[in-house]
Amino acid sequence: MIRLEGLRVTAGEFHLGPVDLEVAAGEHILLTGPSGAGKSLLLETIVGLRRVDTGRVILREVDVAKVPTHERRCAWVPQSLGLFGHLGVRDNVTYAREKTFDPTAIAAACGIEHLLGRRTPTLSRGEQSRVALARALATEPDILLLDEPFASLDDASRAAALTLLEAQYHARRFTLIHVTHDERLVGGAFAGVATRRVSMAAGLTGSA
Amino acid sequence: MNRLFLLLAATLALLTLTPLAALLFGASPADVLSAATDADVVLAVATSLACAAIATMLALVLGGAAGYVLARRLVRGRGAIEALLDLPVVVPHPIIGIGLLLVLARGRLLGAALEGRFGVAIASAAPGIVLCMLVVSAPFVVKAALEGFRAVPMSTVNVAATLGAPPWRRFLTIELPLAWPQIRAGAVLAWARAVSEFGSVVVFAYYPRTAPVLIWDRFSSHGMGAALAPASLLMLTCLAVFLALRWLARGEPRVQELER
Repeated sequence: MIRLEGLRVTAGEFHLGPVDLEVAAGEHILLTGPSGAGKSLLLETIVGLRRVDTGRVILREVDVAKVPTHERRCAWVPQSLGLFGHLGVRDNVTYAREKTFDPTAIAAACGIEHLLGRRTPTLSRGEQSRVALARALATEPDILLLDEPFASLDDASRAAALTLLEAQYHARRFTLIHVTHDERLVGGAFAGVATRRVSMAAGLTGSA
Repeated sequence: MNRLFLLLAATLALLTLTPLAALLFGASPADVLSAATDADVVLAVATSLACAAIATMLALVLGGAAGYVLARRLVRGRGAIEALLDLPVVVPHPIIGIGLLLVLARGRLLGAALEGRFGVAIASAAPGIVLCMLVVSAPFVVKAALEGFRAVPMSTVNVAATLGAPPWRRFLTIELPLAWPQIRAGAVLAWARAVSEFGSVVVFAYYPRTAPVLIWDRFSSHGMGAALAPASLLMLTCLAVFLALRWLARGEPRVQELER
């Protein structure tokens, strides 16, 4: 589903790679490593936000070197969540969908049904992260990339969000790369449902 | 300290408002009413309002695009470009009028070409007034758009891209709405600057006369008495329009930054 071949990316002074990684359809990867290891940069490269120096990004058996971000069909939730502050929760969730799309089911699955009429800036961080997840899932993705969207939540909210994510993963079986440097998460119950853990250090990857 | 600052602020308010109040109360209501029925005055005020509105629209399109280009770093040498954009604010406006004359007067480079090929006269014509107003007011929109677009987090725009939105949709549904409150405030200031423009207009496009030019004309030809009533009328009109624009542009600022 996702194949990275000899991938090298430069961001300012930071050099990522070479990265070789293959993620099968339906696999759930926990991508771990310390801050500054290049985890976010790797996801941004997969979705097409970074220019590749050398190497290839292959999605669904297609080299996407010339495919712009909006055509890659990779759902991505960054750490900042990137909610559209001028739009309500309903409009955030339905942004990628046709006008007739009813967000009730996905909102209920993410526990935000009661928030559909609210504005996103008025929500708690935990609620915002669930809205961001619902918005990504509303695209019915076969690839979901999460860049620590639950990092700044308290323990209870994070546990609830992870339970929700796990349920959605089992229900939909998308390919999931979940970036985290949270050792509690890596060693916790959620690690058990991940099919593989990949660690990154100083721009290089290795299996763990 | 607070008292001292209050005193200094009050001094500024006094210095600013006293001449305006004197102008307002200097002309009798009958004189102002008379000016409001004077065909020349009405035409000049209408010319000012219409040209300022057109100049502001143009400034929104051109200045908004320039602000976007700078905010998104689509060009090199942004520091120099931003300084150049400030030039019309710094340079005395008659000089801008002279500069425009050098290029666009009849018989000059562009002026001759435009008039010869399209039959369009810029100098001493309404398009010339709009051009003067555009040059002096556009920096307000550029700066507002620059700040507005810069404040839109790229991660938000990028998320829209991953949700399948092509560049134009991202611009129209995410970037522009989030930057709009600042751009709108800049446009109100630009309109105010445009409608009050005198220095460049009097040099480059004396006719058709705008309200400031007409007031100057009457003041220099017939003295204070002849200028007072149209000046009061223009001030009241501008004040009303400006307050209306501010009222339309009201509303709580949008939360642009959700990143914590």
